[in-house]
Amino acid sequence: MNKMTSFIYLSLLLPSLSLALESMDDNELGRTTGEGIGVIVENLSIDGKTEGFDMTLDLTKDGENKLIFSDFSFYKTGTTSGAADSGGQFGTVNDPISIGDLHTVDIYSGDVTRPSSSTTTPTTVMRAKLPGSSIQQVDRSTANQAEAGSDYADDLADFNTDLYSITDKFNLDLTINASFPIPAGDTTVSPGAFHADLNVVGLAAYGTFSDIFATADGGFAMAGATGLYIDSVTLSSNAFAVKEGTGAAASVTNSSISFNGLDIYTVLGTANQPLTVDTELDADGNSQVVMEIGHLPASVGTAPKSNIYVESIYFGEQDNPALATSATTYAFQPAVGNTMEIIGLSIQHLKITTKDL
Amino acid sequence: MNILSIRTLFLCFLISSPLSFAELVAVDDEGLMGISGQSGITINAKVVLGAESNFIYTNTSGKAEADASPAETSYLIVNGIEGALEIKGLTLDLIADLNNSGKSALQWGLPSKIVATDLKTEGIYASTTKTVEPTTSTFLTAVHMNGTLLLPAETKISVFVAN
Repeated sequence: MNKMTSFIYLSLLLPSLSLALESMDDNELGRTTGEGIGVIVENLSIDGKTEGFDMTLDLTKDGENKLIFSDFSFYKTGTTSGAADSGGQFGTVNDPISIGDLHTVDIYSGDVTRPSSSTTTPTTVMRAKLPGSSIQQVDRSTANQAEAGSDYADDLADFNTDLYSITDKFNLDLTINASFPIPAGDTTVSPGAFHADLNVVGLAAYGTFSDIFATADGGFAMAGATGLYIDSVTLSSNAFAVKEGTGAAASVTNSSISFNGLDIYTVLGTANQPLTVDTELDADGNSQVVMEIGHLPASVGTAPKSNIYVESIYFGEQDNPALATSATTYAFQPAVGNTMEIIGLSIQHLKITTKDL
Repeated sequence: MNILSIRTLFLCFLISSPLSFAELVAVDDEGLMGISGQSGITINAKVVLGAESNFIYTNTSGKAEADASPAETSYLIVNGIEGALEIKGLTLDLIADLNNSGKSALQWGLPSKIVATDLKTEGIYASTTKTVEPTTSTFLTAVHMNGTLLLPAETKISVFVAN
């Protein structure tokens, strides 16, 4: 009787389970692929200064070599960290952070050394994008600024309109301390500490996406790009001197370096040269992490370009007389264009391997 | 209540299950409009992790784990996660018309405060074995977090189906 009762109960349960679990046919799966999840963040503001927050990275297992990050804050430019109005918008419904979007991409799988080898393998990739991923870098080169004139001004205005309609500018503040041991009796080096304050003003991302997939022989792989426009980045060590009572007389500007008008667009991995992450054994038999952007296939010829522009660099104060090259011009603050440009950077092959020190 | 009555009651419950599933239908926009505006859920939570908590990423060079040779298999191990993480005022709500877009969304109101108390890892390792061993695992770094992060601006994260 008990077995019969159990059978009846089980048979009654099964229909409800079969209603819940139904396989999807190809058409249904086809409709699912490509949609992904959209995310927008409103009133984004994080304050680690007011009540104190720190994160320590131990670089050695004994904990004697370490980096300490503290006083972290991320907030809307033009506001005060920790204030109620310090939140900024990141993404819109039509241009959100996008994750889990599945695409099919032709990934290079031929012989990189043979110009005639252009074999690709259709591969499903999971794409993630930040707002503004379709915005392209403006040619900010000094040459283009001088030659394009009003066209350059129009391009710049379009870039700013497109970017700042989907995201606010953000500030990032961070204090970095490092400590390391000094060998006993060694008086030739300073006390084992380093301090710097990092202040990023007017940060916004564009053109940023990543495709994550698996390759047949390399495992986890990625293709993507990152674009950042930043009004200024200042690195200063003055606050430490003041805190320690050794440099109170020093001005903030005397101990800082600022990079202004930074536009950084970098390509890290493509369908032809994926960035792979793997491990390998070193000569001593220890596991090491390896990040590698494979050789550029001979059949492709040209890798995508990365460009970096820096409009001006201030050592200490903006118009430092010591750096004047004429009555009105300073060495690292040109009247037109940029003080530093890295244009057309392309990676033929990159391999980074961790190493025990 | 005798055993037969209990069985009868349980039987009625089971019989009603398939019928209940038949009543589950998709909620249309009008229905979702009715849901929006309710107060949703507010969560205060504290998670305390013991030192035995680990996170292991297995790399099998693109092969199924059973098919990968030892030389093709490696591990990234976040070993010995411990400490406490406390959040205050995390909210969850359903939105029918996100920013006048017509889209329905799941909206998280981030906590006003996140407190980490000795939240740390013993170490992060590259390893050829699934557990940390002196001869097969290489120490990369260790992470410690302490203190309070404030989110003073009522930060909201909305999640929806993107086109």
